[in-house]
Formats: sequence, structure tokens, C-alpha cells
Amino acid sequence: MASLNDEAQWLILLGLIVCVGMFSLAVIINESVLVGQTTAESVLDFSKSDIQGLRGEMLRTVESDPLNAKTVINAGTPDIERLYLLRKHAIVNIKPVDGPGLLNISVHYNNGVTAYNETMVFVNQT
Amino acid sequence: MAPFHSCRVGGEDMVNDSGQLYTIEGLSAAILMIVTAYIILSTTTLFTPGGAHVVDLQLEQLGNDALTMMDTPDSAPSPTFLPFKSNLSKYIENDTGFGDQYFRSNLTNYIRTKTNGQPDTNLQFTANVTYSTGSVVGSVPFNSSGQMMTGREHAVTVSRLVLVTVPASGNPPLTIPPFIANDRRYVLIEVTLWRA
Amino acid sequence: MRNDSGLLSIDFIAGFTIFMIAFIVVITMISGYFVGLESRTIDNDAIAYRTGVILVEDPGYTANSQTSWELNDIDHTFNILRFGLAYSDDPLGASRNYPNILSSSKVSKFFNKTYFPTRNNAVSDDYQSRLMFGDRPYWYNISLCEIGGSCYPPATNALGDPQGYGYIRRVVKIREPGIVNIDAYYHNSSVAGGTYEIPMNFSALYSYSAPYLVDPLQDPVTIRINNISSLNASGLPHLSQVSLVESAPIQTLDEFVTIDGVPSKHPPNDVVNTIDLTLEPGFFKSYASKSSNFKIRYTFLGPGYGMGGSTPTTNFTPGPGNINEPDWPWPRFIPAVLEVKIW
Repeated sequence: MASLNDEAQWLILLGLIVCVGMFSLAVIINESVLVGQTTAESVLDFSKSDIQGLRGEMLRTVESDPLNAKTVINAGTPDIERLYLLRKHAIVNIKPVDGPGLLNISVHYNNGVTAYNETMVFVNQT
Repeated sequence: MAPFHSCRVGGEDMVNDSGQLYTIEGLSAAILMIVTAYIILSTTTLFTPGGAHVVDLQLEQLGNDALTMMDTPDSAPSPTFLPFKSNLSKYIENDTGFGDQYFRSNLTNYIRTKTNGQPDTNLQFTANVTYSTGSVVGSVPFNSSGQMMTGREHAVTVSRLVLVTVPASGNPPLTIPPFIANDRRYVLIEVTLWRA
Repeated sequence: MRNDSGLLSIDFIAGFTIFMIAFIVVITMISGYFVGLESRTIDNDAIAYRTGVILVEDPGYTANSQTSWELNDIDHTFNILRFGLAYSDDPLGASRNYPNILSSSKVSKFFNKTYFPTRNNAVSDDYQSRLMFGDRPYWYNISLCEIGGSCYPPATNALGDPQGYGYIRRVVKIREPGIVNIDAYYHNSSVAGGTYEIPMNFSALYSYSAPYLVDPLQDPVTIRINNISSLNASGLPHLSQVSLVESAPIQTLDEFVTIDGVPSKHPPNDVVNTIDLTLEPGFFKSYASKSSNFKIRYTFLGPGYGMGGSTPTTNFTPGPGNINEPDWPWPRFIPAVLEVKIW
């Protein structure tokens, strides 16, 4: 024979194409599993309850004892900041500022993923 | 050996052994496809999406809700009537009538009640109170549902900042330093929840 | 070289047949690959979680944003853009200071089948279009039970429990407005006839932080006067009218007053023991604001004695609700559990 007879190579080429097709299908189907995972992970990553709890405790402090609230918050701020840093891995900054109400507290929260800033205004102190 | 002579058609041998070209190619293509399909089907696992992490999401939301509800006072803020203190503060301070066992039953009710009337008894918890003083952060164990965690279950930890008043001596005090009576302190209550 | 003799060799047929058989077998195996894959269920947990958050942490939204969504009557439910059960004293404002506190009027309206009938698996269903916002119809089951108490009828468009479903459970507290209870014994007058007035100073009632305040603009107002038989009258006291008064009488409330627990007994009528006044939520919306100052005036005629004489009673201030002292009782908070199932 002068050259190899390669007339039948289209048959094995078809086989190869079918295999490549199956492989890519498998990759796509495999990645569909991540869809449900990612939703749950993104919800877990957003620290909704940390922020709500921090605001809630500032509010509770002012409502339970409006006249001494500023003293209590100032005394407790180092504790809160240290607890949040070491246990919740978040940077928190709370301080009274000037503002429209009788007592204004600026709250800052940042855990690397979410940052939250608010100035809480308390006008009703009785 | 002389070739085996068979009938001749068109001047060519119909059956000969000069190479089964298409057969070999077809067979190898078939083997390739079947082996690939088998390997793909046996290596990829299909499980229902949303496996482990959704359980964590549900437990964490439930735990945070329970702590938030325990930390919401049931009476209105007014100096002339009841003090504006949440039940959670009273449990941690160990106020009269709000001791350890009430925290346990309150939290258990909140996390285990379902709307079909059958409580979800698989949920267990342990709680501790973390405080900060000077440069030190310490923890005291607070309460638990009784079962030990083996470490293989899905567990989430939820925590809440609580304002407490360290009681004067006479009422068993919350034993966190620096033990100053009537001191208003912020502590962190941490609850680990898992499904046994 | 071109072979155009039109003859297929057996070798070709054999090879091609083997290939085709293997191809068909592989295709059959691949179809089994898709059995576990079901794109319909991927987002059920996410929808359940989102629905839970909207119900528990959002007060809802109407096109007409001046009123809260539960105050729309049955002909105006098209105004509701989004459901939400969280209590908020300001329809435009958020309820973010105290999450997970639900308003009892919103809860009753939400689970009321007359207002919001469920249509099987249709995207036009009230709950689907105003709460779940999905692209395709879902089966759902939303249930709310008080912890240690009774359950509301579940909102569901399905008949049974499914095999697998997206699920979330939330712990909440339902804010129940208080009922004003007045013991007539402590407000006896020795004058035949006369008027008894209950002040409703909205500024005082709203002077606490939400949700602890008394909210007459959105809550139902229930006032019960009992123990009238102790008025020591020579005959039965005769209640001639109950009216809403600002500086002058604005409106008569006779149709909302029930005497002695009999639904058809309205003023003017003799009273044996109890007078109940029930105003539906939103009654004051049309002509009151948070700084209004009203009085509810009970006018008694002879021959029996009335209550309080012609001078108004002491001010009703918000308080825990004491039968001897006139207080407008604070709301109560009832722990409850909400479950959302989506499939």
C-alpha cells in the first residue's frame, strides 16, 4: 500500500465528538448544583442580625433610662467594640455626636463584607 | 498457503482478510463512547441543590429570632410603672423569678414550637455569656438543653448583645468581673444550636 | 479514486452497525443522567426565606400610601402592592426599630379567606402576586400559631403536605391592642342622668415608642363599661346616646355600641350591666391625626342614676390597665411561630 487507508476515520471522529459533547454536558450539569448553595451562602454572609442587634441595644439603652443613657453608652462602648471584634469579627464604632435631637449616636459597623453607618437621633427623652 | 478461492463477483473477491477497516474503527468508536459515558455517570454526583447550607440558614434565622424575641421587653418604657427590661436581661442577671430553668424553657419553647402541634425535639442548644473587662474577654457557661454535642452535626452559633445590670449582693450575682454592683454592662450571649 | 459502484462492503456495514448500537446505548444512559436534575425546585428555599422576611420584617405597601394596607376594605384590595405583617405606627415609615413584632389587625386580615381567596396554583392569586413575586406559580402554605395557644387558619392553595419543600420558620410576637375596662362602681354619681366622658388625648397615647404606644388610628378601639348594676339606681339607667366629641359633638357612635352583650340592643335603651363600644381599625383615620384630642361621651337620662355626673372623668393616660384607675391599657405581646412552605 502506498498510503494508509483513512477513509473510515470519520466514524471514530463521530465517536470523539459524541464524547466531547457528553463531557461538556456533564460539566454544565455539575455546576447547576451550586445554584442552591450560593443563595444560602449569601444569606448567611449578610450580617443582618448583628446590625439589628446593635441598633436595638442602643435603642433599648436610651428607652430604658433616657437621662443616663449617654453615660451608660460611653462606659460600655469599649466593651461592645472589643466583643464585636473578637467574637463577631466586625469593627464597630459608637459615639455620641452633635445633631438635631437631644441625643445623637453615630453607629458604624463593618465586618469586611458589609458596612453600615447610621446616626441615631433620639428626640423624646421622657 | 494458497488463498481460499470463493466465488467471484465483478472480478473482485467479496470476502477477504485484507483488513476490516470500518469494523475496527466502528468498534473503537463504540468502546470510546461507552467508556466515557460510564466514567461520567459514575464520577458526577447529583444531589438536590441547596444541601447543607440551607439547614444552616434556617437554624441561624431561628436562633436569631428567638434571641431577639427574648430581648424584646413586654412592658412599655415608663419610669412610673414596670422597669423596661427584657426577659433576656432578667435571665442573665438571675433576677427573682427569672432563674436558669426559665431561660431554658423559654428558649426551648421558641425554637421547638411548630405550627402542626408537634414540637421539633431534635433541636439542642448550649449557651454561654461572654463579657469584656479591661483587655480581657472571658466566657462563662450559662445553660444548655442537656445533650452533649458529638461534633458531627450541623451547628450554628448565634449571638446577641444584651444590656444587663449587675445586681447588688444578696441576689446571686452574675459572676463576671469586676463585680461592681448596679453596674450596667453590655455582655454577649452566645447560643450554639444544632440538630441532633 | 471515486467509487461510484454503489456497493457497500460488509466491513463498512459491520463497523457502522457496531457504532450505531453503541451510540444508542449511550444516549439511553445519558437520559438517566437528567432524572435527578430538576430546575423547578432550586429556588424553593430561597423563595421561602424571602417570603418569611417580607412577612415578618416589612409592614407592607399600598398604592395609596396614606393608609396601612389592612385598612383597605374589600372593594379596594387592589391598592395593596405588597403584604407585610410587621407593625408600624407610621404607614410610610419602616418598622425597623423592633423587628419581628406583628400587628394583630394585619394578621387577621392576611389570613381572612373572604378578603384574599386562594386560587389554585394561579400566578394571579393574591398571595402570589403580592407576596411571593415568582415567575411561575408555586404551591404554598403559610401558617401562624401562638406558642401555647391557638392557630390562625393557614393561607394555602394546596390540599395536602408535599414530599419536599422549601421551608423557613420565624419566631415573632403579635401585638394585641388592649381593651379599656371601666368598672362603673368606681364612677358612680348620685345624679339622675348626666354624662360620662372618656378623654382620648392622642398626643398622650402616642407619646411612647412604637410598638408600645396606644395607636387609635390603626388599632381597633374597644371600651367596655361593666358592673352598671352597682350604680344603686332606683330604676335601670337609660343610655340615650354615645357620641364622639371634639369641641362639639362630631358624630354619634350609637351603631357601634352594644348593650348587655345583645348585638341588636343599641342606644337609646335601658342598661342592665354592660355597655360595649367597638370601633373598627381605621375608624379615626378620616378626621384625626396624632395630635387630635377627642372625648367619648356617654349620655344617661333618668330615672336611674348615671355615671360620673356632668364633669369629665380624670384623664385616661396610657398605662398597664387597672380596673380602678382609668388607664388606656398598653398592648400585649404574644409569642408566636410563623412557618412558610413553598413547593
